[in-house]
Amino acid sequence: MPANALRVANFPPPGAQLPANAAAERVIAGFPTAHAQEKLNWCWAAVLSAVSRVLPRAEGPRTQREVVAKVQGPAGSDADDMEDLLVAVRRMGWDCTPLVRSDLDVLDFDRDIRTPIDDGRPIPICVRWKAGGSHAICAFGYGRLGGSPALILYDPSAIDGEPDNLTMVSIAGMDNYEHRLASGRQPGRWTEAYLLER
Amino acid sequence: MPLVRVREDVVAGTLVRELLLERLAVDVARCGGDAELLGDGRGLLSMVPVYTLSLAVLRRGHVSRGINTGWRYLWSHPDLGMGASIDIRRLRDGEPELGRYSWGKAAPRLATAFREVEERYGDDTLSYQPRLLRLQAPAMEAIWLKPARGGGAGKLHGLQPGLNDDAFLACARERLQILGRGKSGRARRRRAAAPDEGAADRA
Repeated sequence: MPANALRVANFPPPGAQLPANAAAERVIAGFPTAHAQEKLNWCWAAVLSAVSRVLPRAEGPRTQREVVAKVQGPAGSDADDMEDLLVAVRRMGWDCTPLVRSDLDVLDFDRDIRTPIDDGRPIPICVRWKAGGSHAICAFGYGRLGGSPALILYDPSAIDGEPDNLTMVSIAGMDNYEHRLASGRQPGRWTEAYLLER
Repeated sequence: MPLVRVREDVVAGTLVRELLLERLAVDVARCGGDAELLGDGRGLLSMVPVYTLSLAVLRRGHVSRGINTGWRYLWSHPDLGMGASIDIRRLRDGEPELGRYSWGKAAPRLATAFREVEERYGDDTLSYQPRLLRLQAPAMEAIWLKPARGGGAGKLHGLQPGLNDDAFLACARERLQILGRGKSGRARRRRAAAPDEGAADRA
């Protein structure tokens, strides 16, 4: 039961008819979303660890520590360092086609999102803020939100306290992904997405 | 009544209701709920304004200068362990825009946390505006009770256990420092691995 001060309405109203088959979505089966990043700068490692569970490389690393050791060397596991997501993807052994800002501006949803997801290939994404800094997340599904195409996302920062939440953001909303600290009016936007090969 | 009742933005509320009508049947079915309960009138929609801080404000601890960035809507039903959480952003011109939609345990958990705070301050002599303080960079959120009259930062109840008021802000500052060190650590490692590449980066 929510706090009384926050309550705005009973919803849906009694007897409301909801569409039974509205907005069904598609996700990659077995993609793990219940793991928060183990260190503050290991969003990239958490994303690639999750990707490795559904798109494995022979004897490739699986845990976040193993991913960090593979990408940054054994000493990396003792540190808490960021990494360029493209560098990390390639060192993990995945071939990929990067989509940069100009590609995302003219995104072809069927070609760039639906096809890789239907083929079981998650899409690692980099979000950057104007004031500096970046964050790695990953699309592992798609659907519709507010009548528009949307991504189903794994965000390892687990700020919502429950990393197993299913989170959706519309394609338009990806240009306005999240506020950071520097300014409440300068949200981060997705600037790169990586289409992995099998 | 120590917590002042929230006031809803009409446009934001309309956005949220339309979105819930689109999503609820799918998400309730996914978690094994009976679609019939969506018509029983016991589903509850609640809302809390979302605030963030500038870096300078966080460093000085002046929480009362938080910036309103939008609203968090929560939908829950007494017979379900999961619910919907919808973030609506407030754009520069004040217009609301759909941010993200989440389905899971976070919504009922946050609603419960607010209820516990409301009960805890039920006999308080002051009145408070309920807010949610969201700091994305250090990945932290807190329930913020801002005094309804007069100045003062009010009370912070971190959603991570044991992090209240100054301890919450100190933890956020510490996590930001770690984030900063992680960025410089990557640059240092690159310079060590490829001095020429590092020189090009710096140029």
